[in-house]
Amino acid sequence: MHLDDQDILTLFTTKGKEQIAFGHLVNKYQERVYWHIRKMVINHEDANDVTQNTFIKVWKGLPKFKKEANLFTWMYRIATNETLNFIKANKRRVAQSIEDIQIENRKDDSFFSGEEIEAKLYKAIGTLPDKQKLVFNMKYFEELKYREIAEILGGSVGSLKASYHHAQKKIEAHLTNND
Amino acid sequence: MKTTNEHMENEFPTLEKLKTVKGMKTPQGFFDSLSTSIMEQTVEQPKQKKISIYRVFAYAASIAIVVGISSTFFFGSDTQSTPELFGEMTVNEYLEDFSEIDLELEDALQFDEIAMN
Repeated sequence: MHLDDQDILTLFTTKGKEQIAFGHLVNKYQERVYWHIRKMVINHEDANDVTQNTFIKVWKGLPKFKKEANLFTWMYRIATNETLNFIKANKRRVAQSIEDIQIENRKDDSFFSGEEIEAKLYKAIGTLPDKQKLVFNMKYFEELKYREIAEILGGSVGSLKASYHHAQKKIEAHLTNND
Repeated sequence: MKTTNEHMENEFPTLEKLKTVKGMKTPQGFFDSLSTSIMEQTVEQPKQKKISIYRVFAYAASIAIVVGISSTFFFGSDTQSTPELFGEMTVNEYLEDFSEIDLELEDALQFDEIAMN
């Protein structure tokens, strides 16, 4: 059973309870944050590193966090920035990770399983520009509302809808054309 | 009116079919170790005192300055006066000076004797 965000924040402001509060926060959000990052960087080890960096930044930033803001949105924004910085600094590595998604022998891959079409899906997502990829992942996999995506990434709901639609089109085309 | 899902099914059938897939996976027990690893990094490590080379240099320099100033203060007057009084004076000059004093003294005594008589 996870604590409410507000309860976590209240606990965090209690002297001597900071770590307990942060432990609740990590347990509540680590999987979502990890998968958000993993869908972007693809490689598990990279996602692990970026996730850890994200939570350390959250830990350092929490004392300054304003209670009125949305904790989840704020954390997602940090995760997104960390991910984009990682991708920027490791372009080749990320491109290679996308390339390495095994289509043949995928069952031997300890970090990827499933049908060939699934591997194709990730490869197709990999061809999208970073911002469009983020919008697509957040809507398609994480099922966030456009309003939430707008809070995390910035921009208007209308432009995000358009971006998602374009992404769907491209991926669908990629999937059907490469059969 | 079409719902978003119906719209997606019609326009993007392959994507709709794949919506539930989770092709990526993580090692077993990964999230347990992840939270442990994150929490370990939040524990403040006791700060080890690192001796900076610059700090050592600064201490050494300040000690040298203090020693320099204090040695000037304690020994400065002697070292300055010595050459002026004795250092540049030869032994002969020294003896001549004292012999002149003796002569003057002798002259004075002789003058006194004359006056007495």
